[in-house]
Amino acid sequence: MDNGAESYRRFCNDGDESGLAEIIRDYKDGLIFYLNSFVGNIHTAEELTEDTFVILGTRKPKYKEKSSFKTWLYTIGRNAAIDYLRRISRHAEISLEEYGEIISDKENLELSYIKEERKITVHRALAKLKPEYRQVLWLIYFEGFSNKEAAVVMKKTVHGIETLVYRARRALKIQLEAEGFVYEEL
Amino acid sequence: MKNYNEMTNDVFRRIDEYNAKQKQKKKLAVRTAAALVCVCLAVLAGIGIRQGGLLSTKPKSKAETEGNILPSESKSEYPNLALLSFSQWQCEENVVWGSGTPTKGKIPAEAVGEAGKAVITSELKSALSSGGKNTVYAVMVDFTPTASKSLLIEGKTAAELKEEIKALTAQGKNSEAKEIAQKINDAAQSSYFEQIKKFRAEFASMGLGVYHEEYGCTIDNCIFYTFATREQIENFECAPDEAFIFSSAVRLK
Repeated sequence: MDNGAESYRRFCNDGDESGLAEIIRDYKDGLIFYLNSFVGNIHTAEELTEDTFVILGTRKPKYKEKSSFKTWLYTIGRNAAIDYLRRISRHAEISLEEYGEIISDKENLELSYIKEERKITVHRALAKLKPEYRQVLWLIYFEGFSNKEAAVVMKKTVHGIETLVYRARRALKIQLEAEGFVYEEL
Repeated sequence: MKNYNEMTNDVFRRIDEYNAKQKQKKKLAVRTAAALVCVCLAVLAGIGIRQGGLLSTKPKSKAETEGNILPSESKSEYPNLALLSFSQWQCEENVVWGSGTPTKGKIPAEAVGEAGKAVITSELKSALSSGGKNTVYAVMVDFTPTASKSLLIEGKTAAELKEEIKALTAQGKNSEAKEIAQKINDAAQSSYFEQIKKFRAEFASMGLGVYHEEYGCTIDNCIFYTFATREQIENFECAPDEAFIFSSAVRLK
C-alpha cells in the first residue's frame, strides 16, 4: 500500500480529482484527531484538516518520498496548526452551547474512528495531558507511527521523541489511575 | 462535524475559488505590467526625442521636399530666437544664409552706416523678399560706424582719426598712419566686448541673440551675428547713437 502517494501523484500530474478525494477519505478522521491534540478543539481541528487538504490542492507541495505519505501529510497539517495558533489566541472563549456541541461531535468521531471502548477511554484521558504528550501518544498509539516517523512529524530527534513518549506514558498512567482505571499495557 | 462528502465538496470548492482568485490576480498583474511598460516606453521615447534633438528640428516643408531650397512657410519653431547657440544655428537647415565665402565682417561696399538707423544690404533685402513670414535669416551685424563714432582715443573719435590716417597716407607718412591705425585697433579691441554686452541686452529685449567672434574687432571690422525673422529685421529700432549694417551672414564651414 502506498498510503496515498499514488493518489496524490494522480491528482498532481494528471489532474485527477478522485486522487485527492481518496486522500481525504483515508486521512480525514485521523488528521482531525491529531490536530485536535494540537489545538484542543475538534471544530478547529476539522477546519485545519480541511485547510491541509486545500493546501494540497492549491499549492501542490512536492512529495519527495523521504518519509511515508502519511508522515508527510501530518507534517503539513501540523504546520497549518502552528500557523493557526500563531494567528489566533489559544485562550479564545467558547460558549457553553458550543462546548456541548464539541463534546458531542468528538464522541461521534471517536466511535467511528477509534471504535474500541478502552482506547476511547485512553483517548479521553489524553485530553487532560500536556499538548506535546497528547500529540506524541496519539501518533504512536493511535496512528501506529514509529518513533522515527513521529520525530519527523513533530520536528524532533528520535531520542527526543523517546524521552517524550516515556514522560507522556507516565503522565497518562497517573491520569488513568487518578480516574480509577488500570491499563496494564501502559 | 462534516462527513467525508461534505469535506470533499468544501475542499474542491475552496480549491476552485483559490484558482479563480489566482487567475484574476494574474490578469490584473499582466494588465498593470502592460500599462507600466506602455508608460515607460512613452517616457523613454520622450526622453529619446528630447535628447536626440528631434523636437528642435523644424519639419520639412512641401517646398523643400519638392527640391525647392526656399525655407518653410510653416509656423516658426523658434519662439525665442536667442535660445540656440551659434553652433546650433549653424546646424539648423531652414535658416537662410548668405551665399559666397564667409566674409567674417567685411563691410559690403554699398553699405554706409547712418546714425539711428539699421541699413539692410541689397543681398539681404532680396533674401527677405523671397522668404516667408516665419523664415529665420542669419544676419551679420556690422557696427563699425557706431564704434567709429563712440570710440574716443586721446580725445578724438575713431572716425576723426581715420580721416587723419587718410591725410597722412596721402602725404606719404605711412608709418605715422600705421601707428594711428594700430591705436584705433587696440582701442576697438578693448572696447569690443563691452559693446557686445550692451548690444546683447538691447537685442534680447527684441527676442534676439547676439553671437560674436573670439577675436574682437579692428578698425574697420566690428561685427556680430544674430538670427532674426523678416519682421524683426525690417522693424529693427536703432538707438539714436547707434548705426548698424545688416547683411546676410555666410555659414561658416
